[in-house]
Amino acid sequence: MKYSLHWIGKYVDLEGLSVDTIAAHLIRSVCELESVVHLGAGLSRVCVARVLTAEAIAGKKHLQLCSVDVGAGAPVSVVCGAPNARAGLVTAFAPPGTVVGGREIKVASVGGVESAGMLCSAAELGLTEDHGGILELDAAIAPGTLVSTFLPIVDTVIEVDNKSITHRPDLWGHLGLAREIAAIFERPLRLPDTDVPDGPGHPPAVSVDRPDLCPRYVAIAIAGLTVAPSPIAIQALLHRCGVRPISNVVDATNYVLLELGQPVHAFDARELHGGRIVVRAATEGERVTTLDAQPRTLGAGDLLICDAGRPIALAGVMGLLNSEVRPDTTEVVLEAATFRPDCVRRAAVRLGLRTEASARFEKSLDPLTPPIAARRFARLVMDLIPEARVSSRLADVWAKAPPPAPIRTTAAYVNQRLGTALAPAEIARLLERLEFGVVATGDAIEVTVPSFRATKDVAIPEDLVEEVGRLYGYDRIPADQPRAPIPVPYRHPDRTFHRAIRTVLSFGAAATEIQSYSFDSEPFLDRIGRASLPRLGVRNPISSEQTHLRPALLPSVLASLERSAPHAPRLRLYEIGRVFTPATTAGELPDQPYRLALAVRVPAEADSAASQRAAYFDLKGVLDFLFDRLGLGILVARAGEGTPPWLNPARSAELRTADGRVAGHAGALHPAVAEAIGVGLECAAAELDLELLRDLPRPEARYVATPRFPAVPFDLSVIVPDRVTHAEIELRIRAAHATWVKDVALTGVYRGAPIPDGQKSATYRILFQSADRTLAMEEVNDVVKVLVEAMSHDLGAWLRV
Amino acid sequence: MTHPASVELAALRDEALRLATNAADDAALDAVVQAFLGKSGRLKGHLKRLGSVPAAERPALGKAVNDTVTEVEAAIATRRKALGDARLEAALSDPGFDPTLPGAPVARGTLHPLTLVDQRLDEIFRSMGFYVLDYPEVDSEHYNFEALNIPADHPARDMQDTFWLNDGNLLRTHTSAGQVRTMKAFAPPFRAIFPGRVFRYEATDASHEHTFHQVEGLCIDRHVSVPHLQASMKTLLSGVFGREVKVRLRPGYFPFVEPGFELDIGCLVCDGAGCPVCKRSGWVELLPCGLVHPNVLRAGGLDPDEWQGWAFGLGLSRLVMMRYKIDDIRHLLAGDVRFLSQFSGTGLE
Repeated sequence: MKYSLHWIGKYVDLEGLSVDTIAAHLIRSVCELESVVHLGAGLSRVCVARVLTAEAIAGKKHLQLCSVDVGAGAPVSVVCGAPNARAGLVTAFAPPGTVVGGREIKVASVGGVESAGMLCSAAELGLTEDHGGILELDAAIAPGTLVSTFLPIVDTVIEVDNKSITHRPDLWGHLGLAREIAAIFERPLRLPDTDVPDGPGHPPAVSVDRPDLCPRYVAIAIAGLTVAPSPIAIQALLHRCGVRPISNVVDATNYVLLELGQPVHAFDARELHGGRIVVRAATEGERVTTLDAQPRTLGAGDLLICDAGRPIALAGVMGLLNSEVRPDTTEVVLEAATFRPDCVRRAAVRLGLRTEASARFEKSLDPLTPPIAARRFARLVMDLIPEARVSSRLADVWAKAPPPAPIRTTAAYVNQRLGTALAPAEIARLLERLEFGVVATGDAIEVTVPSFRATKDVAIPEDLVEEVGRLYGYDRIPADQPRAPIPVPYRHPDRTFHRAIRTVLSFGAAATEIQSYSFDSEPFLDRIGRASLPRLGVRNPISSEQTHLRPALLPSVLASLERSAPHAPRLRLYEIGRVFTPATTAGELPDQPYRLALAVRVPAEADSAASQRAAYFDLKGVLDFLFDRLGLGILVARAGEGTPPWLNPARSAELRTADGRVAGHAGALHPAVAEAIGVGLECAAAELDLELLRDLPRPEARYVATPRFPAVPFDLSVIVPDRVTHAEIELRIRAAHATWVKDVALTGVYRGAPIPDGQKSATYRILFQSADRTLAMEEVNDVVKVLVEAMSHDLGAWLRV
Repeated sequence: MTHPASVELAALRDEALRLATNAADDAALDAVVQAFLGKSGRLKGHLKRLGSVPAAERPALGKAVNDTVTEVEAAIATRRKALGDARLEAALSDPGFDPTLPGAPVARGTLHPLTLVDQRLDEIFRSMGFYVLDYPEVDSEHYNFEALNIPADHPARDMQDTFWLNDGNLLRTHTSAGQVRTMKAFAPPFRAIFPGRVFRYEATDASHEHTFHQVEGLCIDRHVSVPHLQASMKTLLSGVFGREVKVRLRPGYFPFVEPGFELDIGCLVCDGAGCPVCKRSGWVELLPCGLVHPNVLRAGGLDPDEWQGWAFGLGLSRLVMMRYKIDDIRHLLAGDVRFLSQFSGTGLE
């Protein structure tokens, strides 16, 4: 919200306080400032001038040479282009040296004639946006009078960050901020004049159907009006606070809004059919047309202000077109009310109609303010329009709630929370400056909260701590280290596990970590294809490209592969991130486990099969390394059902735990995906379930005595059908003797004559070693003999000789 | 008179000495040893001929053979040392050696800059006795709003435009969603941070992302005061920035703290003297913080008469951008290796 310091000065004396001082104290004690803007810094010497003569300049269509009386010395010659420049007009004159609109005024030749100054429009003086002609002032003002003495051309506008006063309905008007300044600098607060006599007539008949939604409704009639533009000074204040001047009556409602923070609304009395006001809930689908001429469809929770027969305002949000103040309006009925904040807020949000009024009502307004605001409006209108008079008594329908009980606290508590040593009387004095009522008895403090702070912001002792702290000044409170108990160490299982994976992959396997959005990218999935996984949708997506949370992590690394591949022939990428699966039970959170996804790219080989294999085995090398470093017993098997659709099923593997659960998949990239993302076939990718891996038993490192007896190497060549995997063979070799087999290394695979088609020969070097003796060759041969029989039976293997 | 054996001995001696002195390498010397000095070598073998020598001459000839053996051995040793010296000398001279040629390449991986800063914070906060925790990205309205004293239709919900999900849950708008979870999970007193990604329904530009990272701090103890908050933040932020920082508190409104603050740090660029970064104020707004609101403590199952707390929320993405001078937040989640491979740290520096 924007505040004029000139306006604030009406309620608190700012004499001797620099703008910087005021701003610094507001920041320190009250709110955040967006900006501080000085207006009219170069306009202090602008004075009143009377145009004596105005003559057209030959050959210059729009220019006149004016002779003006500026109150001292000889008349001054000024060239003026305004259409309303005429003899007898009293206007504003900027002498040379003043700065108008950022330009310094100089004695200059205009249209061949010397001009020693400038006659100014309202816009040029920063008053309004009116630049249709020069200012027209009251002819009674003496030439030479400084304009700044009666118009706010020199001012400072402070913009407060609205977020920082969300909890302070009282600060949404100038009086509220003035009250804070008065408290900070210990100066008296002058309340605005609300002194008006009651009118003679009956008040409008007000009935409130829903006192829960409208706790207080005040109405008063004012007659004898003549609708006209407001005086320039009022227009100027509204304009600089961001409100467009409209007419004296409407401007007066906005003036009250910006002054007291209480929205008020004026109905044309002629349109108040039946002389009645009814506050009722809208019916579902009810249609109205608001002041901005927009048709609106209401919901059952919305609140309407009606006359005897029809709605005339959408409560707390906006008046309706049918009852607005018009140029010929002579009598208005003014509404000042409080509405339930969430009711106004919901209506405003749903209709997309956030107004100055709704922004205030939704913050819980003070129930004591409406009659004050009504009388203030009457006073303003009567000041603006001499014939105006209050024509009714005040109607006031108030479902009065008991005032909140006083807050009880102690000086000791306040001091403990603030780290201060304030006496009870000092605390009382600080709170009293903010208009709290305080009774201090010994250490006990009983605080009555002023009504304008009690609607929402201040209710509990903690709130009083803040009030005392901010006015006393947090910068005066010395920092103090807390006592530090020794905490029980805690290692978060996911974070610890992920850190180990990152260290192994980035620093061991030279991989690059990426992070990407938790949303799927729909255009990317359109290109690479989708997995048939249930997804969780976003109700209000930011764009049509990000409408669902990702159920799989592979597309994230593939997108990065696509982006990065043109710049890197060799890549290893990985991401650790959550994926999302809708919960099966309503009301539960979705399943959102962490996954690890990897993608690699290697230099292309001569043919596509070789490229795919090279990529797959680069990836598998990384995975083997990872499992080894983390101590994870993962078994690799030929791909089965459940291979992600982005992998080539012919060159993929399933990763299993020792007890047979699927921990993930790895494979060469599907050729269609490779084509879609514009990389070659020399890519591979994997996705692993980190929750499953995290919980696997991981063997502790244990010392084993260095061997004292020599190892016996044995080279074994077996011929097996092609479908038999290395893993299956190795598993059986290791099982051949649990303690003697120390190492198994595949040394070669051979296909071709004399090996029959569909078979392959695999050669292994097996190291046998015993911890307690040198093994005899016969013992090793016996083990191998049994092994070969087992492989023959299980795998269809036979010994190659 | 000279016995023929003596003449032969002289010839053998000459030959052995010549071969030893001219030996090109150790292998040639070894051959000389074997040929002349072995048990059946030509010099030692000469002793067998003593039988054919007159008895009177035998001692002299025997001595001559032994003297020759000694002499040849000495020559071999001399040559062996000379060869060794020459090798050493050769090894210590390499005028063509260029120590600046590239080393054998070791492939290099990197951590994401968010991870680097996350791990650095993890290190600092754990060293100061904090738990480092992790919470779900999809959370309920309860933990994200209601438990934090932000009921439905509270205007404060405007501060954080929310992604709502079809199942009625939401993408957490702040890491504060973990506060009440932490209170329920751990017995006080404790201190904890919980970093993670958060989501706001807002348009993306160079300084705004709908997905970004925060780290929440929460301390629960029996007596927690504004000075504790102030001193703790000063210490923690000095750790984070690796240097002594000044802090100041200003009033700030967040429904889940009371009193609530905006915390400023003394500008790290100009040390408070005033510069464009701090808009000449000497202070830079860094984070919101405050004393935990009693309603939040209650939501966490703690009695506000017994337990108090402070909390803060730090923009992790912003910290990353400050640390690495990144000018566009959208780089962070774009997955481009040309960006990511620039960060070679280990997270512990």
